Amino acid sequence: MMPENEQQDSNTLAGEYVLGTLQGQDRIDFERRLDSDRQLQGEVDAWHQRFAPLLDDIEPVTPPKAVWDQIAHRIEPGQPTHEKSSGFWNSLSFWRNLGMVAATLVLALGMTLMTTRQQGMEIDSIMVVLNDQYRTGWLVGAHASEGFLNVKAVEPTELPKGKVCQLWMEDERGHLHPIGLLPHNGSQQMDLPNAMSTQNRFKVSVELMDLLPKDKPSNEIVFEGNLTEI
Amino acid sequence: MSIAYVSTCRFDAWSVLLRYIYIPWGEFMTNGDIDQQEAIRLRNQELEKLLAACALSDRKAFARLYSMTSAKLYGVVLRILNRDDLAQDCLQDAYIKVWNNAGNYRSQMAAPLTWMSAIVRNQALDLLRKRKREVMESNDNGLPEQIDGALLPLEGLTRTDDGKRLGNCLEQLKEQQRQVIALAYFKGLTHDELAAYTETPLGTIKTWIRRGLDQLRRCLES
Repeated sequence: MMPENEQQDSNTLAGEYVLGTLQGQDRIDFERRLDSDRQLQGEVDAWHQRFAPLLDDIEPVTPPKAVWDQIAHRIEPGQPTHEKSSGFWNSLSFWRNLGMVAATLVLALGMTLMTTRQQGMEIDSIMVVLNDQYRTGWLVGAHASEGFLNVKAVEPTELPKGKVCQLWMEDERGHLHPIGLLPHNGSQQMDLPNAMSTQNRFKVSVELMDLLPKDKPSNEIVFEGNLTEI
Repeated sequence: MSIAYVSTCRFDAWSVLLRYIYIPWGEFMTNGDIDQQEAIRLRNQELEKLLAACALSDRKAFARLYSMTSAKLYGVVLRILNRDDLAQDCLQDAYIKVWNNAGNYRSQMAAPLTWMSAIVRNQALDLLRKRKREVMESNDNGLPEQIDGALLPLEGLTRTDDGKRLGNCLEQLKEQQRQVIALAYFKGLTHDELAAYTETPLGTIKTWIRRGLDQLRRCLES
């Protein structure tokens, strides 16, 4: 366990980091620690929350319509959506959750993102599938009228080699239908087996890649949830 | 990885979000407070879903997200930059950042607006720092939009319970401590700049901030 004064130092450093007064080498060192130190990440988040009312209580001001027009243009398919400036917060530490993802995965995500962006389809409903750390493992967006799901890996559960997460949909009679395998990176489209309803429940089981069941999960269900309309 | 651990993770994802947002002191709140908390909870729930849809490249969801949040965030950018033209460019870039990084939002760490506000604030501070560098390079001493008389919105912290609590704790700090914390938070001033602006020794500034943060944390946790 961390000594109290050391804990206090790290807490104050986290406060200075969020405040913006931690600069230069101290900031670089701090961000290096932040990449892998979950406790420090929690302290930074706590400081964001403590200061949040300073921003929450600012009076809203409606921006001119031209701002949205520009933004809408920039996210059109085919438009580069790069950001103009690159400050400290563009660093890996600010988006530290990405730090858990291997470089190859980032590349794969980017490629997939470009493909799905070009399609730009509207989503009717959405489901968050949690990973083994109770964090967002995958995002599932339903295009009900088109009859398919778009599944994107966010922080997938790390599985032993040869094992995969299989997604199932439960019909009104309680029968499970295999939908597909949750991707370990990038996005994947999955066809729905029949006319879907937002009431349909989805389940996830962990299966052996070489022995995928077709009728029912062979192992216990590790997640279940519903789509919610947006 | 333990498969057995995964097997305990059996619940609907949105119920987790509700748990984080749930306010346990409901019995002490008036009906108006409960209505307000419920409205915030529902708004957060919708924003969470919209961010998830943005991560899946749904532009219509992004438009809805913008319509729900842009006035709030434009207010933040204006407070920091004090100039319409800069604030509009900054807001635009911040939303592109939200679009590109929606998949990185984690509901366990912050409410959606807190996360988006942090993006906007950092974008605005980046812009201030960039302009500061440009001014220094051109040997111009003026940086009118950075420091002005309306930079401390601390007296407005009365609308929410969290705001009142933070306001009360800030009140307990020395005036100078409160000033330097607000200047750093809203104007991105470094230790050196704070020392120069307040004509205070650098060591004193560092002490004010360190002790101020420590006091603030203790007060908010008490």
